[in-house]
Amino acid sequence: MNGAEYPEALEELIELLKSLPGIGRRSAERLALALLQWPPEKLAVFGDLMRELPVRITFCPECGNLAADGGLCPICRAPSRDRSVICVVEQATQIINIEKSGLYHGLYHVLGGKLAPLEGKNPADLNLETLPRRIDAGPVGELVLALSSDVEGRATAAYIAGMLAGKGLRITRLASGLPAGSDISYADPETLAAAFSGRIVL
Amino acid sequence: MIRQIELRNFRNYETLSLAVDAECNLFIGNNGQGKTNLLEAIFFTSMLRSFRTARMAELKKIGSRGFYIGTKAVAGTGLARWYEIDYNNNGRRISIDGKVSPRSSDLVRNFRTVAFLPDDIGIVTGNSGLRRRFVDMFLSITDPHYLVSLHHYLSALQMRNAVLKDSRADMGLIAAYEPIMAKAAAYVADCRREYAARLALEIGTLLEGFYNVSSGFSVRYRSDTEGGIEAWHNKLAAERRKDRLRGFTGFGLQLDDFDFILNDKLLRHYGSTGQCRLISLVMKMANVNILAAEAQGNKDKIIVLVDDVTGELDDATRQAFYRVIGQAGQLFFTFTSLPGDDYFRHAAVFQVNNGEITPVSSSNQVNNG
Ligand SMILES: [Zn+2]
Repeated sequence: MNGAEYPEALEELIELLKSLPGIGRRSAERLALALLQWPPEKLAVFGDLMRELPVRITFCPECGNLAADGGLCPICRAPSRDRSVICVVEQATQIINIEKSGLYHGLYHVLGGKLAPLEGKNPADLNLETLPRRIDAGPVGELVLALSSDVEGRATAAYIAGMLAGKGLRITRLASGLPAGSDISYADPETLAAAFSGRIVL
Repeated sequence: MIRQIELRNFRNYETLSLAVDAECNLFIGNNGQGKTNLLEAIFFTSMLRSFRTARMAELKKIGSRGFYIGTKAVAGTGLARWYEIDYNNNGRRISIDGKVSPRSSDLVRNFRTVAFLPDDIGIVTGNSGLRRRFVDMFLSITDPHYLVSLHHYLSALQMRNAVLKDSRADMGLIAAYEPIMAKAAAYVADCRREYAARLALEIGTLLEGFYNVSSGFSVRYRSDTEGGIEAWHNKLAAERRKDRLRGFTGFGLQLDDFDFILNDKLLRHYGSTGQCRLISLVMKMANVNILAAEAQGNKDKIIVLVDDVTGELDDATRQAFYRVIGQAGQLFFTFTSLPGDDYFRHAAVFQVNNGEITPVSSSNQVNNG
């Protein structure tokens, strides 16, 4: 071992942490050294959580939202939700943001991204297959496309609208009250509520 | 008006701190000393792009990790503001008075720059891409919505073309890019058509002023799609199958051209070098006129950069040129040697030598000495 290097196990941990978004080498080092200070019991709990993560946190088979232990997500399970509206979002984390606005009571559909042919992201890479089936199966009357306002988001919305044309659905998008260049991940609850109440028919 | 320019690792400037207080500024030096690089930095501050290259990596000093351009400018109110651009591998950061600004239009709208460059003749004689670039740059200064629309169109086009590479691509996926393209294209085409007419008018007026005869000059905007959003929509839909066979979008804004016509002759094919050079100069003079008319007397934001192009002009043309660019709030010239022209009597003179700039007390003194 060279004196200017960490022991191999620590070095590996640093490399792993570095692969997280927003974490550079320096931050990864700080995090790894902080973990080193933890008592062994705490580290064991942390390790168990990591290990069980893929088993305990799953994607809702119905809508693609985050769920637990392979079951439906809390929104799909809740009997109080309005099953005549589905709101399509790019990421599951956006659902939490929309829920905070308190104005939407329907169901969701999580795409897991948006169409990006330049990065090789095609319709088959999005959670699109189950969407027509959900619409055919249920009493869905409206589809809200809450996608980002950039070219990729708009094209994704146009693709979905084209795909579902002829199903007699009301397809809407959010009112453009969202600040330019931002998307629903960063909008505050009031802005989102306004965007939902002023939906525009595509 | 620009008051101060700070450069770090920009082209051949490792560090430069240059105070400017005159309306008219002359930069004198041999070739390769950094005169054009300085104009390029000023241009970059106002347009966020170079007039020489599209590759940002070329702008940083060789061996450095990125470049910095800081500009202090004073607007009509007398308020001085700092405009800063930091460019490195992680991208660019623009800030105004220390506050990071995400939008390039915030910067672009504070300066209106016209650059006269030795290879301007290429706009008249070269390929259509050079003419589109000339038009796009100018319309981007005067209309922020133009830049946004053009960007939307080109991004959607690029994505549609990526989809079209697959000869069995989903028609619905190809179509998904068309509403964005149609909306943006209709707007951009309108602006281009309107600008072509305006340019023809301004150039004609300038030519008539020089020669006192009817100029016989016109600009024809050539686009393969006429009409508004609806027309673009229909055309995109109609060509979808053909485009899939071709593997790319075979028509549209990216193929537009502008024909410069003098006495019924297409200049790029039948014009003499002298005619083409004159038109390329007058074209940019026309842009100064348009900016000056829009500014309505508030000429502070208008900056004219002249990179060693006045040498070949005859006296009458040169006087007309000086009159037109005199409408700008501030002028920056480069010369290899100090011009004797009376026009520069009150100019501030700087010597440029191997990436360093030193003020020469005044052109008067140099002329007299
Ligand atoms: Zn669910």
